[in-house]
Amino acid sequence: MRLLAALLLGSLCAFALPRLAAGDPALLALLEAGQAADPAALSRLRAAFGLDGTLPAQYLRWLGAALSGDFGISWRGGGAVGPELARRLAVSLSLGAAALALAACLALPLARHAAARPGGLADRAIDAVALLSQSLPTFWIGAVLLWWLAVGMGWGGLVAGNVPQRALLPLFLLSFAAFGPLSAVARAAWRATADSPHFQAALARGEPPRRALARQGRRHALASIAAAIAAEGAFAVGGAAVLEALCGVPGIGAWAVEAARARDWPVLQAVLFAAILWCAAIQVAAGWARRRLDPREAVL
Amino acid sequence: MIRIVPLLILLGCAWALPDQPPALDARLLPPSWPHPMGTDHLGRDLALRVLAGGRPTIEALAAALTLVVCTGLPLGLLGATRLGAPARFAMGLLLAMPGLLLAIIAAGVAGGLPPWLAGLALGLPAAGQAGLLTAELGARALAEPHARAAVALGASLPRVLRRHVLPDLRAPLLDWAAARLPRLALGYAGFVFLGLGADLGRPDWGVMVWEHRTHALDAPWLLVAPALGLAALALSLRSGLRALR
Repeated sequence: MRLLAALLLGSLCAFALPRLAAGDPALLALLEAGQAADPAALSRLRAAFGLDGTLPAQYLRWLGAALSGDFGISWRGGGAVGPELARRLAVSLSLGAAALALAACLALPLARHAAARPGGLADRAIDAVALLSQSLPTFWIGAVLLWWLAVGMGWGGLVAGNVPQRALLPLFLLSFAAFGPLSAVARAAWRATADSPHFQAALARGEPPRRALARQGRRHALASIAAAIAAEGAFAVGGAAVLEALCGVPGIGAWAVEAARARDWPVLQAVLFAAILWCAAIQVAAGWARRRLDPREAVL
Repeated sequence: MIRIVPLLILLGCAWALPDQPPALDARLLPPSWPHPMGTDHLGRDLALRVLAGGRPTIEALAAALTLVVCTGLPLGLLGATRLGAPARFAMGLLLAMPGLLLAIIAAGVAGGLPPWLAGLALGLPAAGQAGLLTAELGARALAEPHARAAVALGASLPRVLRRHVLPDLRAPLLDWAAARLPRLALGYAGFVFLGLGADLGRPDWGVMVWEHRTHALDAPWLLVAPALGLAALALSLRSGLRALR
């Protein structure tokens, strides 16, 4: 239901927003190709771009084609948008998933140590990283690191290598940015467990504190981190645009930036549609995961 | 209260400092007494420029905050009540809006984007998030005995919300803002760093990083200065909002 509404809203947004731009793309394309703008060629090009007919008719045609994976042709490159979208989605999603997995793998155990010993080393480390990631933008750290590592240390692969090499820096920076919120949420969840009567009861039964905390709190921590992961995961499609553009990773965000500079509507429509659908899908998935991990949610 | 002072100083500087004319014979000077942060590639004093450069970021934040207060909070309060399913649904949709992509596309379409519009675009998912938080906490506050007693005594729903729910929400919402607003500021800086929709005449931290990146080797202070400005705003926002609790 929510997915369906998001589909409708997303498609409307995606269709309408890029269309607000001024200028006739068919005319622009003809001028760019260095050809005379005679009316016959113009109307043929408009038909090829799907620009003939009324706006609602264009929208319905676009939605129908988009649902079957056909997003038209890019006005700049002339290639089909659909397959390119799939390629770029794969890059962006694997980058985002890897960064989130790295951040979650670091945050969960560290947050448990922090909750077991407030004011200890892990507790202060989490605070320090959170403060750092709140005050320094990742694109700035990325620009400095890129300059320092690529020019100063001679690691040219970060800028000129293949895609996995170039994605290395965004991967670390994205997980750095996600680590703060994830660890804060996880630490709060572990602390709630440490304060709970059932944990005290486990201690009274003679369970060792660390094992008791891990056993009693794991489900609660996972359930609360699922919501935080959903919030950060929505970032994967489009939210990483700045880092992708900076490091030359051919993801969705970098594509949107290129297309916005070139006013390439079909690409922008496809990217926005995919991003809104992705965010809605992630919310639905997070809700499902929370209901699985926390049976109280399902009852309410 | 003293923890709000840095924020006020930054705000004052951003509006009060005048634009500097270029001084081409003083280009790329390293930090020294007359120029504590050095000068930039057009000979302007970098410290003054960084202090003045917060204005677009603050405008964007103000727009985002207005959106959060005007849509997120009412939707959230509505979502806390028994008839709140449509409001919760709307907040879910808001949360699904990709803010940065919307700003990028709008900038590409319009050939530039004023800071407050970029702030509105970036603030859409934040408004959804604040609303969902408000709805969850508000529902909890409505279930408290004193709120139910007020309902039983015949108080109207708006009055119960204002008298018994909103005071409970103040601290967690300020905490949320203290964590989220710095991120929004960094997000806006990242957006203008892309070079889309920027007004190159006005000093703006994200644009400055973009303009200065070619001087990273010969004048590294050019790259450090705007980051200092951003960090100062982020930290003073954080401490100021926490002090308001």
